[in-house]
Amino acid sequence: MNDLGVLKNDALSLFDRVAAKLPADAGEQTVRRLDAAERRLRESGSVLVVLGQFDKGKSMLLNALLEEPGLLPAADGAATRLTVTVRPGPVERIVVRLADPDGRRPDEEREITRAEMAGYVLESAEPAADRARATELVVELPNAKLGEDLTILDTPGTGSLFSGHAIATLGVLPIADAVLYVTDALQPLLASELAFIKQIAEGLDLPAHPGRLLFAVTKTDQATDPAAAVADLRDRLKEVPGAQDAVVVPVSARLRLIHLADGDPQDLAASNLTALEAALWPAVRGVRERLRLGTALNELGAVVDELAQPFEAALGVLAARDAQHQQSFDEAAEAALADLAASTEAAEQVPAEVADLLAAHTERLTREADVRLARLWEDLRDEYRSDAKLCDDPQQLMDLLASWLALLSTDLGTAADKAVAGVRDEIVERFGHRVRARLQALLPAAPMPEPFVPGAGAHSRPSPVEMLVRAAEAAAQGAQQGADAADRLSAILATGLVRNLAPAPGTMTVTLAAELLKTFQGKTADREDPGAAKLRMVGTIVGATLAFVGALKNALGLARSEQIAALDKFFRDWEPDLRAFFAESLAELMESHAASIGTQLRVFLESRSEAARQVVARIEAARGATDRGAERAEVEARLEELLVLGREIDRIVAAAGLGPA
Amino acid sequence: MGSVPELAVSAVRVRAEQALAAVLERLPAGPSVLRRTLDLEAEALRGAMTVAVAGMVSTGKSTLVNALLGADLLATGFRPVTYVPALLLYGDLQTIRADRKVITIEELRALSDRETAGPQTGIRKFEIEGPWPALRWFDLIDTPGFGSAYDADDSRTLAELVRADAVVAVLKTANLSADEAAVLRRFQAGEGARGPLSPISCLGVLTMLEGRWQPETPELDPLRVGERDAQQIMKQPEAARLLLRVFPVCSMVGAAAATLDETDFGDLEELSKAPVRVLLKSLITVEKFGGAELPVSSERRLALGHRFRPYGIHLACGLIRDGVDSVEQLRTELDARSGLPELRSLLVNHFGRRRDLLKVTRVVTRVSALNTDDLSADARERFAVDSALRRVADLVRDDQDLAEYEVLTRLYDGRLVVPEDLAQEFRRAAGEHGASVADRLNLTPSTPLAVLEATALDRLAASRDSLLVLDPHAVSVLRAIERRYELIVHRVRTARALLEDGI
Repeated sequence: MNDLGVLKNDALSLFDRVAAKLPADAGEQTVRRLDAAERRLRESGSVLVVLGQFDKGKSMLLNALLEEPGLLPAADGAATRLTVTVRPGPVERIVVRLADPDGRRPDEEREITRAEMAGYVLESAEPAADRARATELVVELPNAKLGEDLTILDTPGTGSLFSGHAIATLGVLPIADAVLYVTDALQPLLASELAFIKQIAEGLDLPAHPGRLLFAVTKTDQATDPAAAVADLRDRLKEVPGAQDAVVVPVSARLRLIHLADGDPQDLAASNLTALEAALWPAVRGVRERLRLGTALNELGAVVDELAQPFEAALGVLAARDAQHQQSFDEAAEAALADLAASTEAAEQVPAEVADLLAAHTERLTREADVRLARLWEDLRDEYRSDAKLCDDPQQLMDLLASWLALLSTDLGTAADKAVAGVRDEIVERFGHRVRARLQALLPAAPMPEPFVPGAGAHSRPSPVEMLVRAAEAAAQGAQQGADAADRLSAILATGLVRNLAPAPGTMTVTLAAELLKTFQGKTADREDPGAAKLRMVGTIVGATLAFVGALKNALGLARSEQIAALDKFFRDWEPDLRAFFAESLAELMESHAASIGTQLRVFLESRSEAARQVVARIEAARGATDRGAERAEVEARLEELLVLGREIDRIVAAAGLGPA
Repeated sequence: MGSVPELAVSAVRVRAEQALAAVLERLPAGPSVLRRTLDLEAEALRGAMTVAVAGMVSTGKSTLVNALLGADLLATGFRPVTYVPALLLYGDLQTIRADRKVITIEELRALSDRETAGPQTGIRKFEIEGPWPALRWFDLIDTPGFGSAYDADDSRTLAELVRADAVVAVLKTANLSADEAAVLRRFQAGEGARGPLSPISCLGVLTMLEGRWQPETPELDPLRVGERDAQQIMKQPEAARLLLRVFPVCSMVGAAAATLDETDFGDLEELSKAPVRVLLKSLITVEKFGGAELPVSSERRLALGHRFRPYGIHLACGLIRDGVDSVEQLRTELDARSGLPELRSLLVNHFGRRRDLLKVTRVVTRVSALNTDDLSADARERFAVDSALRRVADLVRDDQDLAEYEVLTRLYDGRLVVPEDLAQEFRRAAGEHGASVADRLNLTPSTPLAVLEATALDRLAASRDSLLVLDPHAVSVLRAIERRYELIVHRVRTARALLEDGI
């Protein structure tokens, strides 16, 4: 067990000890909070996202990493069409998700065999009859490497026709634990790959979390000079902020698979897979484990502080001199009662206030979206003016735009998270939040934002990993639908608008974007989590953008100046639609935030009431005590027990490197 | 240009040269943009045809050029090695120049490798002359790859491509990458070569297929795997619109075969005596082959492995075991199994045979676009030049080969849409599947002349009676087919007359 595992066990035993200290009449919310925090600490779970250009051997490498030859369909020169999610399960089970062609009914899920996978996943294989409807594939299997809790997303490579999936994945990156970027030793890094790596680095906030991006250089068995490939990659990575010291491991998945069959230790050594695993697994698990430990300890600390409050209050009363006895009792009891009343009153008023505050933020974010979109549009215009390649290659142009928009949506989503957290903290602060700050601002830009109070809603909420996987699905589906829509759209455009490629403003593009949005809304009718809403925004935007690749192909035959004019017109006409889209999505996102923040604040205020009630009760007990010396000794003993627990929490925080520097 | 061995100058080229000369004569005296353009066109017409080898970075373009020539000329490797374009010409003696300055082959290797020389050498182009038979028909240009992280390479490559008449697109995988598709689209849009490329001026090569061979399944022929991939590539619209077809080759085996010497042969002979199972097991990687318990020094094995790749070693040892017993014989057999002989012959047949057509069409396209408005204030003078220019443009209408070529181009780029069986018949008659009379009629080479004549007459009659004549697109194809069948009938009759006279 690693150090973190030891600390985690220590923390779990602390939960038991705190629970034992709960008074018999402890409030319902306090019990729930402890319960939820403990469950979160126990549940664990991490997500690894695998990215890279197609035909670099991502699927084969995963087979080698999981020691499962033949699990993921892989063939030389064949591209993977779908995002494949691999996660632990008690028995092997492969499910393909099939979209309803009309988008009216919910997706169908069908169980298939390993042998059938290729027909859905591999571009070059004999296609399954309903391959076109497949949006996603999930593999559940018992596997030592996955353990209880590791989920892996294998994306279709970039640079292929299915690049939308990978671009949509950019939206998931802020909450993924780690990314394994796969390249090979046969070809130096292409300019297009380097550009994508830069975007991944941005999505991961790599300068703040340098360990989250790792590189595998595959196919060393076929290369004449694998060392040159590694050197070339390192050289290129100097240009990527945060990636200068990234882990780069040359490997041969093939040799590892041969070793699994023949058992020749030389093959294992030559495959170098052990080195990759030694770097990869800790990187995947480390970040989230620490974060999870930090959040759990924070919550535990808060409960301990609250438990101590009544004793502190009672001690204050008991310590007072005789002359002031009566007055102290009265004052303390009054203050506690006032606190109780304030919390109850606030519970009624706060929702309206929160709605006002959030509305102001929504407006501000919408303005920010407009400004950033305008700037992005300007950058795009510069880009295709200065780079002739982009004019001739609608796929490349729209891939670029889609990834920019994906990152913009992600940024806006993060800004919305921050704004909401600000509103929450502001209200909490008003009630004199007395919890000590044990953690150094938690972790910098926490990769997996945890709700402030994992309270009442926590029972029904999916785990963060589950949320992430769902979000990735939403993003991939958006991209897939965008690609499908592209076919339809280019068919429409080909009939009437062969040369005049820009549709009239507000017709085609609005219809399409609205249609795409509606399809998603139909699928997620129930109130969804803000995290999922955010990712749906990313997926939709990527999908809608890629849908226009076909439309732009009509500009190919034009002269350069005409191309630029046509592109200018196309994007000018599209901008209002996009602005409207962002405004609408942000409003929706904030609405789902409002729902979740409402729950959180209710839980918080109820906890406050309970705490106040405890204080009142303890003061009453002190007032009624016949033997004040004995009462005082008991209160002191109880308080000391809680302080010991608090110090133990501080020790674990420090040992895990989470405390103030 | 190097001393190109004279091919028979075709009638169409003579007419094109005359037509251009006529325009030049009528031009007002003194330098002008028009004169300079026409001078350049005339010069291009006289020069050899230029075929550029282009593709993404590290797809093995230099390896392919080496293999095509049967020489170990250009540096090859993982990094974008070629950063300076190299023009390869036919010449009686091997001469190498770096921007006109004569250098040795060792200097070339050092200078053409970014690793050792770096891009700061300032050299803009290498010219390499030598007596390589493949170059009798066209010059080759080896270009830096597209898409490397070095931006300058892309613009250099494009500058070179603009000078080329035809392009060999080097591809690496069964699915075109977005980058590759983009390069092909740019060619099609007219950025590669002088004007837009089409299947007439562009074919694809799938290289480095030896990497697909695995000792776990030694009987699997990588060329067969490559053939499947090639078909997959041709299913993609970017490829189908642009490439005549995609050829699978084991270019490294081809290049190694070309440089095979007595020492190599001796070592391979030793290695072929090792038990097949042991040899196969060692061939999982080159490093394993170098480290295995086998005859010949480990160092030599590594060197051979890097040159021949595991597949080449496996092939060579198998051939020796089957009785191949000389350097010459092994070289030929390996070359045959690399797929290169087919590629060479296609290059000669497809590009070589058409070189005058390709060149003249290009000249016509460009001359037709010339503007004479600013040429002279004198309307009569302008009229004279214009009518001379029109004669150049009319070349396409008046010449059977050119007319047929024009129809073929329109079919390939989709401006003409006709039923597929008609398109296929036309492509065949126009010599896309072989230039002999039997090939054009889709008959076996041994078909007697009388049968050839009867078949051609039948087809001619069928074309004339076709109901498709009502379709404006089909009618131009039908006319071209008819003219071709008429020529075939004429040629077969002449042959019969000569033969029967002789008897």
